[in-house]
Amino acid sequence: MSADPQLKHWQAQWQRALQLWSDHLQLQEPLWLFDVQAANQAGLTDSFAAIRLTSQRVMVNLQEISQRGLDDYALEVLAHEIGHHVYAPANMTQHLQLLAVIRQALPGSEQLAPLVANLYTDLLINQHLQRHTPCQMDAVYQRLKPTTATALWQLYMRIYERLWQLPPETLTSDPLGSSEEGDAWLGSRIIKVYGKDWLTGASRFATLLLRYLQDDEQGANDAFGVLADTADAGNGHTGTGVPALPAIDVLHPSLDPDLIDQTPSTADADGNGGAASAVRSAGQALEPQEYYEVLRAAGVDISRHDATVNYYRDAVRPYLLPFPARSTPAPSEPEREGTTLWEPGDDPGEIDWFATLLAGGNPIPGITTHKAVFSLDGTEQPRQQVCDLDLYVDSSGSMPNPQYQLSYPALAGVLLCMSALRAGARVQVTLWSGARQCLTTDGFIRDETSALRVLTGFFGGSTSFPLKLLRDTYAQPRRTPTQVVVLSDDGVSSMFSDDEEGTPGAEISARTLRHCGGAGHWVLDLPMELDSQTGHPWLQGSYEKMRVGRDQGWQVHRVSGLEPMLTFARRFSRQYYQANDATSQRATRP
Amino acid sequence: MSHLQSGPSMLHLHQRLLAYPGGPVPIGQEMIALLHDLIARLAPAVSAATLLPIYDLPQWEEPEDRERPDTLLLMVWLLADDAFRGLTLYCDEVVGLLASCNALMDSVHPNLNDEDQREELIRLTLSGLRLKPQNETDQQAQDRLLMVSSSERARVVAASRAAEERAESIRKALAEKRAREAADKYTRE
Repeated sequence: MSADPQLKHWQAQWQRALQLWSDHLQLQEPLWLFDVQAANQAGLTDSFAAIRLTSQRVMVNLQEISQRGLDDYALEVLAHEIGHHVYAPANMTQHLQLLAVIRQALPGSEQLAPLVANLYTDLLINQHLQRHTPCQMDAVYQRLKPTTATALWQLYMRIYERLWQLPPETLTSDPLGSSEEGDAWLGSRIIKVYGKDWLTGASRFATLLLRYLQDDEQGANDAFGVLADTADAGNGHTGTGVPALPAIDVLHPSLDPDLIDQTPSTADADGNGGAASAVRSAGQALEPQEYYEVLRAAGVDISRHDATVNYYRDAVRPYLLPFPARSTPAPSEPEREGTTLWEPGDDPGEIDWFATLLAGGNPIPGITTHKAVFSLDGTEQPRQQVCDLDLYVDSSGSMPNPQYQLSYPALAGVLLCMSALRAGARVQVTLWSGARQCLTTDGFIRDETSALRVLTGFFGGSTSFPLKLLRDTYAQPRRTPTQVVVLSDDGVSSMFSDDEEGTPGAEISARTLRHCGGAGHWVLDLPMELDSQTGHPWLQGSYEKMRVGRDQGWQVHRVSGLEPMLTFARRFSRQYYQANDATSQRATRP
Repeated sequence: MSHLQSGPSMLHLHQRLLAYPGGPVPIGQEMIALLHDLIARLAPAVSAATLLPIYDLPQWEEPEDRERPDTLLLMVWLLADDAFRGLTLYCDEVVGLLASCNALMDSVHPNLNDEDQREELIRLTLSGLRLKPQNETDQQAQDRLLMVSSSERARVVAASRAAEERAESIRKALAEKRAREAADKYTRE
């Protein structure tokens, strides 16, 4: 078939394929690809058709279609791809959940989760199309029948034969053994029983396939490459939104009472593990490491660090509170004093376009953009003034790496930063560990992503507080009141060493408290109270220094374990700044 | 040459089962009357001697749950469909099927919401009367009966479970070996 008639034929089938799922479905026409080069450019390398869930675009490689003898199956191929958009996985959130659930059921073979997800969703879609529409999905698979079939291919095709009551060896090449027949029956049951609760079905299906995948991983990848139409479904996704996982037992389908219609006690009586061998997956949230790997499995092009930033940003969203504000006298009426630089992150409505255009040339955000400054005159009515935040997060070896596991210091830091930025404050974030292991933002900034990138970094070295930064920041009194927060453990005592110029840390610390205009807070994971005389002798030196800091005016919040740091971050605003003015004054002027 | 008479379509019989009206399960004389009526309707040439096996059925006992129909009652409901009128059926086969049906399936109380169990009940019924579903060949009917047979299913599922147990023990052994090697390496370092 030449290209034009072929294209017209496929275009004519598109609307029909949409109507098989719904009369109201509107999806843009597929991207028709005519050669290998075009297919490669579009990222369609292995399969003859695919879907991108982010752009909701179907792609079809017409040359590959012809080579595989599928010209007459336009309706089947197109309806199948639409099924991924309408039914399973339908959207990126469910796709990520699906991959995460499957990964849990494939211990040691997690890298094959995309393949299993693809095979499983294909089964769900094809079962629907074969049973409820005129599509002849069995004929498509007959065309794709290989000359030599792997054990997994045989099993997969036998599941279809059982679902569609096809005679043996219609799609398979040879008769299967008893255990493979049992697996095929269980596979067909999963599709029938878990058609609606298909995430649970995905877990069962992955467990069913695990034995075959471990026997021949390469063979599985090679055999099913041609069917891999959701391998890069997440391409173009920004990686936001951490999916919550439903609680699903990891259980072999032969032990699932819903599939074999046996009570668990019957299964046990047969001498099998039954419920005892089920691994309870308690619906917990994903760890940062898992989240990154799930994103990569979905074909999302994202770095580990960016995924971590998204993870923590999403994790603190339920806890966001207004950032502390301090009462100051309010002006009777604002008076324009002049202009100052408008930076990205400021409210675009504040841009003074007249002043910006006066600066000459095309407006460049953050360079030539200006905003008006108003004087705050008058003392009659108090108003809330937002304090800046200067945050120091300990990233020494005693702290967890936020890119691999949930780090409460990072989570608390992200919560404080996002609250502050939402309230209009500026933040300076510093990640510190040993000497010369210090990562900080470019001063006090309004850019959330930059702040979060610092917070989600990791050193894992020794402990040496960044005194030079503290010294420089508070060399002069700050014009905007600033809350200084340190999230650490007994490593904060390194603040009382001498800096590189020989200035005593105690002097820098005291000057910080004098010049910050707000207050200093230490949130420390300590094994015992600061005044306690018990504990290891090697801790006593650190405790002595910390007591000096407390006497200088640092407010010490002792926590036991790192998790309460998040509680501190949530309480921070309410405790000190959302109460009455008297409380506010106590908090800001200890 | 076909040995099986063509019967109603599978789709129609699935719908018939799904339309089961529910209500208390008949027992005793009520059940006997139902069976008599059904057999006389399907095979009018029935004799009193042929009917004897149905009196041996434990239909006089009060069931544990009178709302849960057993295989016999569901088969009676299925065969009472008009689609079986006009077919050539033999009374000894009808009686034999009804007398033994509660032992044919894995479950005495088939779940009508389960497609596979409905399929098995229908195919067992047709097979017991030497019928095949409409538009199926003899071979297809036999293959498909085997596919949904609960005894065959129990056999292959047991084989699947045994294979999984072997695979699981290999996985555990490998995991333990890796853990030992990691511990050895850690100790050396």
